[in-house]
Amino acid sequence: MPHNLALEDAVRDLPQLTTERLLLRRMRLDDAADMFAYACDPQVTRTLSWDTHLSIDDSLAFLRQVVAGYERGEQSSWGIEHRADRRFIGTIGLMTPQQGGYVSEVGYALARPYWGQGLMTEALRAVIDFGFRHMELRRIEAICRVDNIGSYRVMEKAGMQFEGILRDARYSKGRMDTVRLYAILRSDYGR
Amino acid sequence: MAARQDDRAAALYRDLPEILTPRTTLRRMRPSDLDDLFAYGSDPEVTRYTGWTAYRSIDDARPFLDRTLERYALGLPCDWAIEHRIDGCMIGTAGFIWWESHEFAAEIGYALARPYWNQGIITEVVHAIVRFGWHQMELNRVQAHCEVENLASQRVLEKCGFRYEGTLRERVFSKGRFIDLLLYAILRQDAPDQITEKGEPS
Repeated sequence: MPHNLALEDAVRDLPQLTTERLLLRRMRLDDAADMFAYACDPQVTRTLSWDTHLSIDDSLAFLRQVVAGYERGEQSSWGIEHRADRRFIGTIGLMTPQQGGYVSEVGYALARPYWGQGLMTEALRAVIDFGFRHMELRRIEAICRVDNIGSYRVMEKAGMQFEGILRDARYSKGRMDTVRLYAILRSDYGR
Repeated sequence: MAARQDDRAAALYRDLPEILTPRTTLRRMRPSDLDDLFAYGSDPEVTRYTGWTAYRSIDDARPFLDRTLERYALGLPCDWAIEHRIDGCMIGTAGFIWWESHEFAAEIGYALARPYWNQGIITEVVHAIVRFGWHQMELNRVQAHCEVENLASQRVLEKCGFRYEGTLRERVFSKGRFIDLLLYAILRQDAPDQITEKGEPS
């Protein structure tokens, strides 16, 4: 039976992950201005579970929750920093693993000016690598709204496989959403 | 909103209603069901595709019974006992495994004693609890998982109007192995005849 690393152990010292153009690091309260810059954009939040931020206080409240989660060892979300621009441009994180620590779901958000450059694919690859290498996950899954082509292209480019269309599987912002389910297995990943 | 609905969920399950199907009564499980539970739960054919292993002694059956009674007390989604009305014994369980009331979605599961297989009994039971989901739980989506090799369960779901949505690879770890699961779901809009049927099942 594979060794199971608890979430708390993996995130207590959530490591920085460096990719070609990005730094995935812990979020901080002073990211609020950069977060608000994209979280106030309805185009960004349209397909996300959380509401568009209306003021920087909303972003600050969001970050306070994340930081408190780090302290409890319950939060494995990274802030995405663009290394050249030195800006906080989005988030990516793994949810609390299920099935005894073998299955987790990944979710992400990215500022609109940075769309279409392969940046989220780069971030997702790094998080998948972390999940299989350091968290002993066997399966990482992700969902996106069925019409969110940008998001599922990211999943496909990161090596996730399409598994099905789940009708009305999420209820968000007053509407039922049909979602596409993708997953990558440790065995797909060659580990 | 979610909190209010969860209160409603708790009230519904704390006072779980009986449901009559043509041949069975779905009712709360009770301590006196232990022998019947052991009789079918000790059959490895019954437990081949369940999350639990066959009971080897009556003591193995007790925790499931206790947990179910505890879930009634807490008002959590749970199983009904399936009682065969003519035979007068408990022949299985069926019910809701989870209920996300704020997403209008829930998942069902079931198990049935082997002497009662291939008679359409689980089909009538699933039909009844799905209808309970539409009317009493105000669901929009009811889903179910089963293993790839469990053709009987797939047939039950298909007969009840569920549609196959995908195969989730290595989605659960059970009995020492990773298992691929088929996901099925039925939406309220798939079952207009069940929605317009008035009142409780006859």
